[in-house]
Amino acid sequence: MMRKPGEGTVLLLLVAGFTLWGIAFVQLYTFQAIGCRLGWDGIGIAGAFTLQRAVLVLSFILWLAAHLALWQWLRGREEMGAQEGDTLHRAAADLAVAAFGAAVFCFFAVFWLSPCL
Amino acid sequence: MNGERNETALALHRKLSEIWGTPPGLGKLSAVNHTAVGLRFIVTSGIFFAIGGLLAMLIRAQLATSASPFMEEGLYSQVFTMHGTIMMFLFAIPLIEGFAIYLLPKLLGARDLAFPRLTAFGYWCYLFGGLMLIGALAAGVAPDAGWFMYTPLSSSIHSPGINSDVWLLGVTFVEISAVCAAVEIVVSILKLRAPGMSLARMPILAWYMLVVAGMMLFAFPPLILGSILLEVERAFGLPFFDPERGGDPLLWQHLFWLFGHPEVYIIFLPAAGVLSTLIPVFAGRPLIGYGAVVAAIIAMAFLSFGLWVHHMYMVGISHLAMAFFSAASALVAVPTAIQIFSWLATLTYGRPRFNVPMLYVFGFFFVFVIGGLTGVMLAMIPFDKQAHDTHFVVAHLHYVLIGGFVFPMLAAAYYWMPHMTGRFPVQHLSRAAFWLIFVGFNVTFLVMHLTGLLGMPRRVHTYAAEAGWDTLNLVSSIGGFVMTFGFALVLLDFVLQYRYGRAFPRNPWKAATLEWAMPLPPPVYNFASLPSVDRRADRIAPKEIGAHLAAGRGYLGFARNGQMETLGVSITSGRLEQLIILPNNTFLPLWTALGTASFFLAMLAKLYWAVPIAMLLVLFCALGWTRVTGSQADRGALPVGAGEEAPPHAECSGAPSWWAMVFTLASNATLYASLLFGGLFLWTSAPGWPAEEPPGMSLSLSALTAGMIAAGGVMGAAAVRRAGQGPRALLLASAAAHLAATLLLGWMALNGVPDRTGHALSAVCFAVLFYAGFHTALAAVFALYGAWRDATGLVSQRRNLDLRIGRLWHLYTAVTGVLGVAFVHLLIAMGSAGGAS
Amino acid sequence: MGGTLLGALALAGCSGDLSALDPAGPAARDIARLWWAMLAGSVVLFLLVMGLFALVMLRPEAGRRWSPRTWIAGGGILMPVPILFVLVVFAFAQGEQHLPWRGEHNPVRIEARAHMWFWEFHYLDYPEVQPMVDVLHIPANYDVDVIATSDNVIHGFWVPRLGGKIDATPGHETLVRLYADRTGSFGGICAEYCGTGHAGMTFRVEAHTPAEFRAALGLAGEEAE
Repeated sequence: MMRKPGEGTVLLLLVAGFTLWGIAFVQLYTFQAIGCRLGWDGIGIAGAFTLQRAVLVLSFILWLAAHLALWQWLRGREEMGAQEGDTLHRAAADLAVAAFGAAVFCFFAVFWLSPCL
Repeated sequence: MNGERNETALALHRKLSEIWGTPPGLGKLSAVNHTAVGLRFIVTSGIFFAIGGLLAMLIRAQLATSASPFMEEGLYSQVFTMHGTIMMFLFAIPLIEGFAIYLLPKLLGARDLAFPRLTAFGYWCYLFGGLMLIGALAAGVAPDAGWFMYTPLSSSIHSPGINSDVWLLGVTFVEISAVCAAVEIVVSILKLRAPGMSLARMPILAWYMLVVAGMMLFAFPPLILGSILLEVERAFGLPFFDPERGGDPLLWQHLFWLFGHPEVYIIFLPAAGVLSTLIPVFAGRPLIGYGAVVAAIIAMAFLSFGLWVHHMYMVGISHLAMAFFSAASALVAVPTAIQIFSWLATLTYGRPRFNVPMLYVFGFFFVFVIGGLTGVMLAMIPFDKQAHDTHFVVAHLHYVLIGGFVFPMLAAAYYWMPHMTGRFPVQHLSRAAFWLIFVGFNVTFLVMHLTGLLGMPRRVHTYAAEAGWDTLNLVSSIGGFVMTFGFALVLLDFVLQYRYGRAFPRNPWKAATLEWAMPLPPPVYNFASLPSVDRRADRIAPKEIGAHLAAGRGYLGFARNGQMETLGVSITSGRLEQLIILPNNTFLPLWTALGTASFFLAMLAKLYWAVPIAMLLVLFCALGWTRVTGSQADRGALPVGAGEEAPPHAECSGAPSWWAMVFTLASNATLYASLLFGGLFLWTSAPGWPAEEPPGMSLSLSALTAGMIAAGGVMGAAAVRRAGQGPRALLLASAAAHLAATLLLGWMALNGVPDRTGHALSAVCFAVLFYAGFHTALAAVFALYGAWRDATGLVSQRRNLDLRIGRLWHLYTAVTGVLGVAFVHLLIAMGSAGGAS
Repeated sequence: MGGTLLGALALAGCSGDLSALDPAGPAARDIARLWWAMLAGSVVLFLLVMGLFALVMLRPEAGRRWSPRTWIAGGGILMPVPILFVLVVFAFAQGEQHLPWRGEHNPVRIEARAHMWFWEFHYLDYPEVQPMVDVLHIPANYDVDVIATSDNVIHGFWVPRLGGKIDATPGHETLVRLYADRTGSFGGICAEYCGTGHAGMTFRVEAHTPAEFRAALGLAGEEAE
């Protein structure tokens, strides 16, 4: 009576996109707080561009790339898609796109707003 | 032929009723049946709603004019604190639980939930916790620091009485029931469905409840942790929130709102699920955009965890950090809009019928859309700067909660009441009641937006006549009383329906979901036999299926050994997988809940010597639950009717209890992560760091402890592989290692952290070590329990469920324990005066 | 809904000693404008949704000219996302502007210490001035940074007509910038619930010309800022 491989995998696929978004959120928020604590915003790199902003912007770009990679991977799975879970595989891919959009929407301010004031 | 079939159906009904029925008289207290307990939840939450509503009337009477205050400040603060607390914790969440408990098995084609005794235990916890709070209100010592209990106002210096303890302990007690319900709901939805009902065929309400229960697993732990830490600070002086000793009041706010904001969506989503269920029925066609709605609610669930700081814009967080939360708060409107437009599309492509439930759907649209729009406004940081903590927020939150929860739940009440009572409503009063509530509500709260913008803060017990708020407040108060009349009429309407409604056979609304494929009011066993589902479960024909099932032609259309049986399926595909044998009625949940109550009462009465006794009592009761589970022999696949066979759940790898442990640990891990983040948060934010007298931890001792924890965990986990061939030696060795680890952790916590009441760094280290020690102690219990089960012949290579559940605990303990020891060292290094900081 | 609210507004008026809709400084004025703009937009969106609800209930066939996909993607994504994006960007810009940046000249710095239940204002730039209770003197047309703190429970410093609100949290010092663009007396109030004295924890902000400001503080002579 062994479990079939992948029982409930589709649930993991459904939450994959926004889990990534959630991790990105935690990382950016944490680094913002730690950066201010350690004074990264006082370390200039180029003009007003500080170490703090560099770290956040770089993280943001990497997260966007991760979201896109996940989306590509899920689309691949959707095309192979098991018949049964079709709706759900499509929903998983849609959610990955939505999570990418949510990441842009929620974090684009890293380019702009005051990180420690 | 027809007569003969009816006779078989009747005989089957008698046999099943005998097995599943609840005994009369005091025996009713032993009920574990989901219909009975679900209704208890619903009725009890209704009573608490009435109490909360009464308090609201007191508030509106107090504020009606600037000259009218009749309560002094202290009493008023108890009244508004309890109004919020009751409505959130004793009304909304339990109503959702009761609704889900009552409905889910019927909707999914099962005979009960996965853990009937847990259902009953959850109910008792809810009732006793609620009674603690209400008792305190009656005694005049109710919580009085506002329903979000901000420290230091709620800490022992400023609230020396037991008021805050009542809140922290009572609410935590009630939350136990919420977490129990969450685990049960998730597992039941994933495993206890009719064969053939794949995930993609589930009725949409099951998706909503799955997402909501999942959210509860992760949203409640931060608040439970916060409550524990604050109670420990109040009771034993360990500073977590005290800024004088390295704590930070903002930590409480983070933990509270990390729960508090998802909570709003935990309340809203089931109501939205009701709408996604009702609207298709009254449009006469299946929901349009099933996949889009599933995606939207998952997105909403995640986004709702990224908004909590919008309650904290005024605490001095940097603009960029607030911006993350502000954007997420705005963005959460998108999945809401997707659902609203799915409903509109469903209506436009159907033939909408207008009746009482749809009247409440209209009420939802009107009220909730306004609440959503003001929500987007409040998400904007500059606007919130003016509106925060004013009556604008009060108005907004009532628009969201009454519009997004009470209106849909009243629609649900009118829709499912015939299901619960077997009687069709008379509906003379229903429309009048709706309009009273609707008009009364809008009169009360629409003007309150303006009251807030004109500067009236929340939670004031009086105001000056010169402020110019009299007229607006009087209007609000009048509206409030009109709304109360409306609710009274609804209650009367329900009573009349129950007494005088006309009986009807099945399916009055022409719905297409399984809960209508049963005689009404529903029999205790739900379905005389279980259906097999070959299409999306909101497109079935209840009449035909109902007759088929009542005749015993589905699965399990028979009684076997007086056992309560239902079926388990594989998660995604819904293939028949296991025969689930459920426990019978028992008083054990009641005893266990009483034991738990004695723990909370001992804490409340500050009888700390009794606390460990109460804990042992609970452990003892909990072990008693296992007496009826397990079997002495492998049984293999058993016939389940319709020519198919399935093994009993104890012989399946994906047994419901195994999954329950997975989700319990996920929830537990959230609590632990909150604790570790709490430590890091204090390091970044709290005043008074680095600590002057940091704890001293010997590296070699720590390494030894970590080694013990790991050894105990690994041996306990490895025992599974030896199931059936003598796992006992390994289990006993594991228990010994866990016990040694417990002692070492205890020694480290007591001796290594002498200054635990002096500085938050020490307090956090103590808490982490305590957490690890608590888990190793329980891991020892798990190992010993496994050995005992093996000794009594209940374990074999096939029947290894006990050991596999234990393995989950062992591995969790090992990972979190080792991590905890490492974390303590890291935090000390970062947070001490001599270390790097 | 919009009509009722606007009607109520007309009746009650927006003025008032504590009214956020009766601004006396740039921050409050910006926020009041943001509010009126958001209100107007909300009324339109509300009427749109309720209009569609009426349409699909009364004449469902009329709504079928749009495909289900158009309904969901159009109404659920294409309509709200751009609106929200514009709103968020606008609010970020405004929020950034209201931050207590160091301007060309140094702002007057005042510490607001919250007690149970009164406010004590310390003039940090004028150590010789005695702290004042429940009265805060500021120069009009000049940046003032209020540093809020507490040694007891959490309070909320709020001057609605100047658009400044910030929590006074024990163990923290939080900063809010006030700017009154006229002289006058403005009401202040504690926003965060702080115990039984919460309702009575009011104060006044008096905005003066430079000379009057110095006089109010009991400082001798005229001195250029």
